[in-house]
Amino acid sequence: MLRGLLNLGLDADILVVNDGSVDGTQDIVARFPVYTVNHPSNLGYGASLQSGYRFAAKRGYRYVAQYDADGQHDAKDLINVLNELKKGEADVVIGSRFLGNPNFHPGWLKLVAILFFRGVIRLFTGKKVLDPTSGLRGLARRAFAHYAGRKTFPSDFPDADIVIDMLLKRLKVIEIPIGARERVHGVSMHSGWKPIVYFLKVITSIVAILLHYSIIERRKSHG
Amino acid sequence: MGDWLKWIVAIAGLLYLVFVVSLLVKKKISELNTLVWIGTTAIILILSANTRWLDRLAELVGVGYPPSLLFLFSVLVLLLLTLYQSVQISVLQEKVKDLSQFIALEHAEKPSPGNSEKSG
Repeated sequence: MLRGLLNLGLDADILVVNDGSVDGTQDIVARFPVYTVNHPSNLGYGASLQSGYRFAAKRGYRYVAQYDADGQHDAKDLINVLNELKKGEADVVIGSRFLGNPNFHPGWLKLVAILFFRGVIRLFTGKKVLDPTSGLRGLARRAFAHYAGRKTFPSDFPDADIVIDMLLKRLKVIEIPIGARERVHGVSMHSGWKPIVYFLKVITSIVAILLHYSIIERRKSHG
Repeated sequence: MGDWLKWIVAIAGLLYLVFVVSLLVKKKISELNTLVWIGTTAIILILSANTRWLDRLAELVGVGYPPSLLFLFSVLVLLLLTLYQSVQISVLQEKVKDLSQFIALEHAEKPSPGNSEKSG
């Protein structure tokens, strides 16, 4: 996975966030010319992403491209995401598996959830986002610097809730096609009873974000 | 309430008070938390001891069986306390996360000198 990324010869720094795993990730990664941030304990997927944003904000990068390390994304798609960011038109670039592959089918349960979240995003922001759950994203400084702040990013699973948050913050979000593959390594973050809890959590988060914004908007219009 | 029961309630309350204060002395509980626990328990104990007050209060709000008013009150107090603790846990979680990230970022391992972009 890492080798594929390095072979691209990107003019970029690579950061691996190790979320407290003790399976030897640290030793393997140490063999490559990449940055590593090792969480002392398991903090969650969202917290790992945020560590990346904080790393980037601290070091003054202009763009961040994120990417799950289980092998389900093709490293080449990162180039497209970065190129799109460099055009300077979008603050957030989401790699959409649906745009890249018309026959992409993530499994029924996921598909229902994605369709539902698409509808919710459309309803409250008027924007069409085909793949709000995609783990391959690019963020320009304006976006990741904000989410590097405190209390701005969920530490478990940022999903459609954060897409809505981005859109309500008037960040420009666009989607580009990426390839979709079956997961090569590791197990899904979502298995067993978790998808249901996860689904409810994201809905709760969306409600909180919407309430938050409606209160802020009201205050603005009154003040 | 019979006299016997009243004594049991009073002794239980006193033991509880001693327990909370001893926790405070051992620094196992914060002052603010101590106040919350002692304050709310005191109210419940006072009501249990003065059954007449409880009876009158129950009559006032139309509760047929006065002790159930006491139970309702106890449950509400416990509900509030657990909610308060939930908030505290969430706040602590966020702080631990921030702290861990801060430490992890301070100790970020560096490869050869880098450029102006990043992929993570």
